[in-house]
Amino acid sequence: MKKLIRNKKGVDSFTFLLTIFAILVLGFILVGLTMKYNKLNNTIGEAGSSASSILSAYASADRALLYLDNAVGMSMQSSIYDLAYNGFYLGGAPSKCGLNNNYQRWSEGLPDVDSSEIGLRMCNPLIEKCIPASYDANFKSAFLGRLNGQVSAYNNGSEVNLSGDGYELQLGKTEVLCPDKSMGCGGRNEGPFQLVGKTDKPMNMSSRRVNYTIMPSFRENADVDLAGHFERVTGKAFGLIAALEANPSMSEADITKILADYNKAENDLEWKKENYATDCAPLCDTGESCQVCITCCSEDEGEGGTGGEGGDGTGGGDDGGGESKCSTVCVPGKTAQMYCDYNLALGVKIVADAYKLKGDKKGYVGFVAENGGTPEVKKYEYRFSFNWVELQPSTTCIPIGAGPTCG
Amino acid sequence: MTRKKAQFGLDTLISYFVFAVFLLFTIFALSLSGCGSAKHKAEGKINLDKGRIADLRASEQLSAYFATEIPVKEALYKGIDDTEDMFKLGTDFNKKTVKEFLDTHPEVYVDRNYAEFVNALYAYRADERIKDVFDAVTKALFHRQLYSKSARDLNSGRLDKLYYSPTISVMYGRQIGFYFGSENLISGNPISGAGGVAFRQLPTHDLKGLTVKFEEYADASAEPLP
Repeated sequence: MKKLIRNKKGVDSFTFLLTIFAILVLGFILVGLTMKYNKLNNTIGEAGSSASSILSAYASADRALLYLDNAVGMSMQSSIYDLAYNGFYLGGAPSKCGLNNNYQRWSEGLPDVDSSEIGLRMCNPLIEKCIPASYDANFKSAFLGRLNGQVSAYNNGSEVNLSGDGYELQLGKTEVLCPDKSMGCGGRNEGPFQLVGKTDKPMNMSSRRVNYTIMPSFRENADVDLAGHFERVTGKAFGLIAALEANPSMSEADITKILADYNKAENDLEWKKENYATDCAPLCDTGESCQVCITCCSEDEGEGGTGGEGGDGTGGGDDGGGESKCSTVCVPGKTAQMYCDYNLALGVKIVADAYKLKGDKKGYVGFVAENGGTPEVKKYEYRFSFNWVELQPSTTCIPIGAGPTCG
Repeated sequence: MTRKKAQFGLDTLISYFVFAVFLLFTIFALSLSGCGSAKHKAEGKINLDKGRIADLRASEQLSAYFATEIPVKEALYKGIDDTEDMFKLGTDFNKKTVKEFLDTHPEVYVDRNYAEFVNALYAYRADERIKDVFDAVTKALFHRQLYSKSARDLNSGRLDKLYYSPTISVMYGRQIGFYFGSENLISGNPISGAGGVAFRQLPTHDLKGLTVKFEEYADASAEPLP
């Protein structure tokens, strides 16, 4: 150290200052770089962490979308089943033709009740038709109800929330919704019936570094050709009603033959008569006026009179001993005609050999659901009924209000 | 001018000092770009991410399994027959029981994919046979054949066939996750060691849902390189 101090050569002051200056500058650069690195590290993270976060967000979305796709498929199954069960109407909302033992009526004879003065249906040989013109609205309503139930169950306790609302639904034959299957819109197995749900309501997932937004739209196919079956079943139903209108006295055997012909023509649908009932006792109001008369007889010493009734006011009397005085009492009435009321319930199942059980001749398409915790196999079946009447020749006169009385 | 013998002066010291400072700054600059300790940090992070990446792989694989269509009866039954021969030591299912169940309940597999099949089995959860059915169908669908060649094997020079079946388990109800032993249905053996795990929830008709777990070994080829 002493040697250093005794060194008279000394240090160039410029060099010395330059050195100090350089050390300071480099120090600032180092601090600056370190701060920048720390900021970068805190923002983006360590190597690969951003990509990992993005992939994790994607996997989160995939979990929710997988659930949604399966919920849509399940809701479609149940909705198609319900719609078929209720003759393409919604359960609890029958057609204006009413129900016949839980079978939706697609036709009704003598629909008019209110205009009769004698409380009967008006005799009218024409059949009121209640075959649904379309199934879209009812299907959408049933489907969204079921989907919302599944979505609510999923959202309960999930960090990612699905929404069952805000979907614009398109449904129909796959070949119509997706005419060019090379675009990848054919759906799973190119099933015959397709449902497309589009939504503008985004699904958001956010983590520490990533905000991920997707639109949870869906496209699902069903293995039941609901659109095609609707056309075929309702088409044949119209034909059947026309035949009943032309020949209301068609026998049960005739109807069975018609259904057998339907089954021969179509291999994948099986028409079956579930119930056939006839009632030939009721009366209907022809609207024609008549009179209900009785004859009242009285005697000085004898019994009271007896009377008879008729459609045109004739009557008779009986002698009770002594002279009797008889008179006819009439009240206005309406002519009532007897008719036969027919009810025919039909079921149309979807045939598929893959579902055939041992010992059965045929298999029918279905799925398994639950009923109170017990598995229930539900076979798709389009159920509906027809009602028509056949007027009979015998008539009678029914008084409007109270009948005629003596005295 | 004569030059005196060089002495170790202050300027020399400062020169050495400056040199050392530059050297130090150079080393700092290099460490920022990933040399030295930064490399260990990066490797450590990658090791941490290996687990997450394995989970993501498992997640994608499970999604693919769910979308797999169950084959028609003949092909499915053949698969079950073949699988029973493959997993001679590890097959717990009773083939006869499985076929009896499938014969009487075609609605669980006809025109269904794997997710729908699992869902349909859920409806029959009171029936003990579904454990065998789940195991058999899972193995029939997803078993893979591995090839190994070892001169020490009995058939030296010939390829030995090994089979691998994925480990898939199901627990009723919607869960975040579940451990081995608490599942209701399982096919395969639980993974020991490093592996990827994925969980997926599926809807059920009773709205209670179910959870499916898939495990697979973390493959070395899947590791990202630093």
